[in-house]
Amino acid sequence: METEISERLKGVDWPFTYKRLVLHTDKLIFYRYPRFRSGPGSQNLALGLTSEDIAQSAIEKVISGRRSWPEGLDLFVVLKQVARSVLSNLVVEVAKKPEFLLLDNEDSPINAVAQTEDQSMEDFYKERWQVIQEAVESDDDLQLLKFAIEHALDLNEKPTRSNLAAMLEIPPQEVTNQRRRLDRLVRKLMNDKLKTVKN
Amino acid sequence: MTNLKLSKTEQNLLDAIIEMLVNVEPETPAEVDAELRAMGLDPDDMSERIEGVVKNVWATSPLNWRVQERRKIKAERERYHRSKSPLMVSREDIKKRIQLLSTQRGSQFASAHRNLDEASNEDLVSLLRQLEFLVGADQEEE
Repeated sequence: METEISERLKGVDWPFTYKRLVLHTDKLIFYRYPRFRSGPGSQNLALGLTSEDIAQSAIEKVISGRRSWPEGLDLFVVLKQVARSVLSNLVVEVAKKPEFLLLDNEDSPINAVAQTEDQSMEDFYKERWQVIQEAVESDDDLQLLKFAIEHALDLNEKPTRSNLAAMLEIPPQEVTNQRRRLDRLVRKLMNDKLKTVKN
Repeated sequence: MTNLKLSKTEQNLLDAIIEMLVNVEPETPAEVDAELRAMGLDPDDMSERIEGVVKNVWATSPLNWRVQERRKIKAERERYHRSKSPLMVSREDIKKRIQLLSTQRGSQFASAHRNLDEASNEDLVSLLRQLEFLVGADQEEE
């Protein structure tokens, strides 16, 4: 069994996997762990860590066998879960040592936010909700995408790419394009908001 | 910031949208590199860095067969040294034990060591230690 894992690990394109994982981790932090980000485009997190540290840690756990890679499962799916778990543990660590939160880059806009108000997660999600609504309202296709997601949830279905494509009667690639467009819009709006707070 | 609370439906929808956005990913190596450059990172440096990390972690990983082999060899060496305890038995007892273990190892091995009467005490002890080690290894493989 372990020999099989060993063979599979040897066949991995690590540079490509790692770079994808860094991007994913960065996105995860942006959408799920806002207080860890010290500024738009910044790679520095709480406790002096970076997205690269989180991605490396996830990869180390799988290669060392501390986290298993079940046969038949896409390695990238496993690594994304491990990265998420590393980040969750970091949240616990930071809760113990709040003085390390947003330690670096004191002039960053997000620090301005953090310093002027104690931004609770509830506030954060309300803010995200407003930004997403703003982004969706600016684009007819994105409005339809949002309705399709709502509809899927009403039906207790997962809003997967294929489900959304079927509901919207568009090719799955078009759903991917719309998701990307929404991601770009939301990130831009969020960064614009942070700049406004700074000014 | 509004003080209105998000409804359960809104929270579920927001959660689904955020999860979808978290999983929006570039598909090709060129797209990945372009996004990293936009973030101010150097994709080539990153490739080099992770190759070094993977090499180091793999060198000590329990999943690496070389590490597994090294551990087996170490365990066997320790077992061999443990078997070198002083023998407080007679020459006849040693010969009987050698014959017993030789039979366990198979007829070819037994016939190769049938002239035990001509062997020195030292050779008999050494032969017994080797046989105990080999029989132990056979049992572990089973």
